[in-house]
Amino acid sequence: MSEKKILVVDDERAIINLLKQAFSRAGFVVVPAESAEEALNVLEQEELYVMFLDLNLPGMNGIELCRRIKKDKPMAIVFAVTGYASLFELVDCREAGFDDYFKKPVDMKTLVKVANDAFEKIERWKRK
Amino acid sequence: MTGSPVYTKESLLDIIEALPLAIVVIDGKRRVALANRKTVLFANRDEVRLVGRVGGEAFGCIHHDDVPEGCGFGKDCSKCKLCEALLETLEKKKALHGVETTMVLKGLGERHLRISTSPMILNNEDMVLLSIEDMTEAKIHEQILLEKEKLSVVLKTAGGVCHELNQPLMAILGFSELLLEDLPEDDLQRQNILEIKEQVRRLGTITGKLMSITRFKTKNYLDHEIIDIDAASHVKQEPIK
Repeated sequence: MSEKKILVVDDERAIINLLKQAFSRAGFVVVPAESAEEALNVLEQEELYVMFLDLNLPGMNGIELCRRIKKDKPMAIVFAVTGYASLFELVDCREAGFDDYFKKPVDMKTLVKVANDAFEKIERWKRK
Repeated sequence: MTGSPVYTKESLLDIIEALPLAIVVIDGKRRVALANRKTVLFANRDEVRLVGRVGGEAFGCIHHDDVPEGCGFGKDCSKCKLCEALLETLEKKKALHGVETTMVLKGLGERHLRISTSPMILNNEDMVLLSIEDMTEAKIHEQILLEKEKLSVVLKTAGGVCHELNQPLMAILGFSELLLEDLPEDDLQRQNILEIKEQVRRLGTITGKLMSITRFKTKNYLDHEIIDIDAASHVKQEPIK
């Protein structure tokens, strides 16, 4: 894998900007999307396997988006990053296929670490 | 007395015996003249100990023994809505519906009652037909429902507040980390940025607790009642991952 690309879906520009800077410092390339529909368009054109989705998105929410992604790309590693996290939401996330779940505010080191682990995993799967 | 229904003791007992409410006939001296089976069950005493006794004594009012003259003469009797309703109906021949009151009864504890009265004539004597509904269980249920509704409002508010606060908190925390990465180890601003991070973590802990509210608990704050986040939440530890 030449470029380690991460799809970041969040309707807040500040969060996208933050994740862009933090992930690019760690050697990743961020492909941003501000809505689920935009994310699905991106996925039609690019091969992306690691994704961070906000749950509260305009239009289709992050949980439905995750279901759609996992259906088309079962190998994708998808993380939820959410501002509001109830126990029911966590259950919904697991059911939708999210690989892990982070409550905002979460520090960047944690997200960079899980992104690194996700790419390692994908590389390992590809070698098999 | 015009307009008041006229019954014999037997015909009236036939009617009230089958009713699902506690029905009592009270005479002009506020003594129980007649009581149906439901009243016997409610008062938890046999008919012999009901009939002929003054209302408060019959139902086991705890204030009955306070004064030697008995029911109606104690200092608490002036506040007794049952006593007041009976007197008003007897004197003014006026029916009263759904008067709610709380009484402490011997062996039954505090009971929330809904009483209705109606003037009547029995054996050519002015009397009062009194019905008593024990609303205690319904009141408890109503209270539980109210608490649930309050909790639901708190959860919706907390959810909205958390979502709105956590977005900027995430941005402040993240950009602080980026700034720290850029600053040399000996830069004097590092301590200030670390302080910003620490305060964001504190706020994150508070929003984490707000998201974990499971009970409606309040505490006093000056002259107001506010949500006691610590007591209402089941999260006691740092929730930030």
